[in-house]
Amino acid sequence: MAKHSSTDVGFYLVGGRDLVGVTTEISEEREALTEDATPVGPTGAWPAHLPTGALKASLTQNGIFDDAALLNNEAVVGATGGQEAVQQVVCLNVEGNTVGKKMIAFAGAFAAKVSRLFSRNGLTKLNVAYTITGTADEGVIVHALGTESTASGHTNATSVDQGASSVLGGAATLQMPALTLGGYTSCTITLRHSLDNSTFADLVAMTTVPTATAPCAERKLFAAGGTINRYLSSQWAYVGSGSGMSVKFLLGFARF
Amino acid sequence: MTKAINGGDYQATTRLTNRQGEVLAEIGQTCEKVPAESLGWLVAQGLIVLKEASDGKA
Repeated sequence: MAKHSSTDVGFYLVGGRDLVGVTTEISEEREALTEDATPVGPTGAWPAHLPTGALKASLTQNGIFDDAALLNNEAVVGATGGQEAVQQVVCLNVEGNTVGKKMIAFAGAFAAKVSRLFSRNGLTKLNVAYTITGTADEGVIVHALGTESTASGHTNATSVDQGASSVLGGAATLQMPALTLGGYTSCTITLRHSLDNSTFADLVAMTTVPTATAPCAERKLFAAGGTINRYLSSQWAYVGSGSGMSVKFLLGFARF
Repeated sequence: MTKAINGGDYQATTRLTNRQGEVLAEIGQTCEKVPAESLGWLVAQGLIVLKEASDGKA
């Protein structure tokens, strides 16, 4: 365990857009919903609550309004509005943008309440309260947010050792802020796994991304029952031929 | 006595590479290049299967 500060925040990605540079405060909360079960009679002198089994995640961000490309206004409002109603994938890292560090992925985040605050003698602010419709996954970084400029590559040599294999399923999360195809037709990001850190097999292939859709983000589930081996790595590969290609992406994985 | 697994008898159901990223077997290819120590867990997880089984001959 270690203490962390705001300077450790490696990325805060909303739908493929990294908002770290325009965000001043992030708050994420988990809530186990309970029901008041206080009985009548002497035992009800003090309140009693029982868990319902339901869970709820919430997320808010405060920051400086910026309507440049790939920043917060585009992420949560959009060029012509309406982005508030789009379900987004959000990833937050508070330990540093390094392979193996923890990250949190929110599966379905609606920027349900967007506040743009204009004040005299002050910078315009943009604050967002998300409604999370789904899970908050506690995962690890398999490929740190960064740019790769080779036609194909992998991180087998810097795989993430999670100590043990599992069979309860998991979720892979991809965030892709930028993609230059350079003549190639598409780029595919794949999550890989290994039991012995020697031979690696494909685990989850993320949806192939043509350039028109970057920035983008995706969460893919790996169903319970199949083995997810202890070592995880990533791979990127372009389809077709070309030159001058590059892809900036983050790949994370959370075991259930 | 347990019979040693021969990679040549198996074919991959998913793409396999080594730590250096070299492709050991593409889907459907035989697994001669796969290290012997990896064959056991690949078989157990169905990531490689007997050629005969995948051909429907088993």
